[in-house]
Amino acid sequence: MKFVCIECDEPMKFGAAGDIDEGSLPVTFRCPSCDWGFTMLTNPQETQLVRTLGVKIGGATVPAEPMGMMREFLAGGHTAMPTGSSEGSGATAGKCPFAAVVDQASES
Amino acid sequence: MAKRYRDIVGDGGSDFVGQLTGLSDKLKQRMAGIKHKVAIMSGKGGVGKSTVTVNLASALASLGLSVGVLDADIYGPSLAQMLGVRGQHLDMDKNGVKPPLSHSGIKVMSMDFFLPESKTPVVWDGPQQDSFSWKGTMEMQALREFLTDTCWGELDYLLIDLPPGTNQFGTLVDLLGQPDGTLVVSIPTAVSRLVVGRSITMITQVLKSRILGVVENMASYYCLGCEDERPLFGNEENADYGETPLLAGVPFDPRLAQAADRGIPFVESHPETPSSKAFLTLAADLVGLFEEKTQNLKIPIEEGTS
Repeated sequence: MKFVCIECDEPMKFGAAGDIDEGSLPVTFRCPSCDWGFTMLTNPQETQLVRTLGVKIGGATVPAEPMGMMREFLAGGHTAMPTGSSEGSGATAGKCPFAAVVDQASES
Repeated sequence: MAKRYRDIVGDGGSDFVGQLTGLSDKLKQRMAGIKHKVAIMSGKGGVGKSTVTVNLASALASLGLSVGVLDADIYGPSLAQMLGVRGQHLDMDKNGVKPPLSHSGIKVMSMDFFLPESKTPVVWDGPQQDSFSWKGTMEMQALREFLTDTCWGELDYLLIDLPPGTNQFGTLVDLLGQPDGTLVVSIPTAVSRLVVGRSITMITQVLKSRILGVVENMASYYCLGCEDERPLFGNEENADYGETPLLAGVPFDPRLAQAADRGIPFVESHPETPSSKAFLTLAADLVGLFEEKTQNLKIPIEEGTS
């Protein structure tokens, strides 16, 4: 999905992602020429679809942990999840794929 | 003129294409150590795909080959039980998850290892309303993680046991590219041959994949009383899968099911039986097919370089 500023005919740039609220993720985009912006609000199914694709809005900042999707989304299976060291991964690795983006947003 | 989709380079900062390419590259790296990836599938349920997978894996291992099996039946995993590794704890490090080893050293990965209790079903966290919109993607990702995040190491064969139907086969091809070969499992009934025939068409003509042949399970009945093979379905002679060869017919033996329940491949517990001999012959034939393929690939190279 790509967005174009209708005034400048410029591709919009990712700005920030907010907290997920009732399954909806707010993602802000801005025009690099005129700074006009808008926020896209995903519905819960769209949010889930992006999460299950294994990608992060705004770009991946930390490498995914092994079996990260299964560890995150398998209901009731958490007690059976594999354990071990997680060298080289950040505090947000293995959590929601949006977590890193949300963390970044809260830090900035 | 307003910009169109293809006029715009990138996606504004998320680089989804790059992220997905990265996932694909990780999968390729993991698969690089595996010589032969063989899918085992059937359009029909209940024909014994997992029985064939487990015993073929065991037969290949008995030839001194390194073998892994991936239980790609996300919602109905059975291989961990059939190979005696159910309930084993998975260890993980930054490189991935170490697959449990069966008694004969077969590496096993299955959804079963992620479920805490025997009656725990596979349920995904997420919005349950209109869940069809994302569940297919979740299933694909589960298969991707099994392939990518399992420390398979160097393997001669990775057997991928697929659920009934052709849907997951298509997903596998999307993720992996074409497997090195596919075995199709059937039973000698008109219904099975009809349904399996359709799946063969799907695989060869739509998905353009290579089928090594058909394995007819329950091809006869091995009577423990008279120690002889008898017809089971009465339709054994009429196998017709078009251009796809019938590679093996495996007699039904009640002890096959008992061995699966105990977690010991029948080939290991009863190697001298007709059923086990059929699996051992199938394993040798499979190795021969791949050797033949390798030779065929080598010939023009050797001719061209000499």
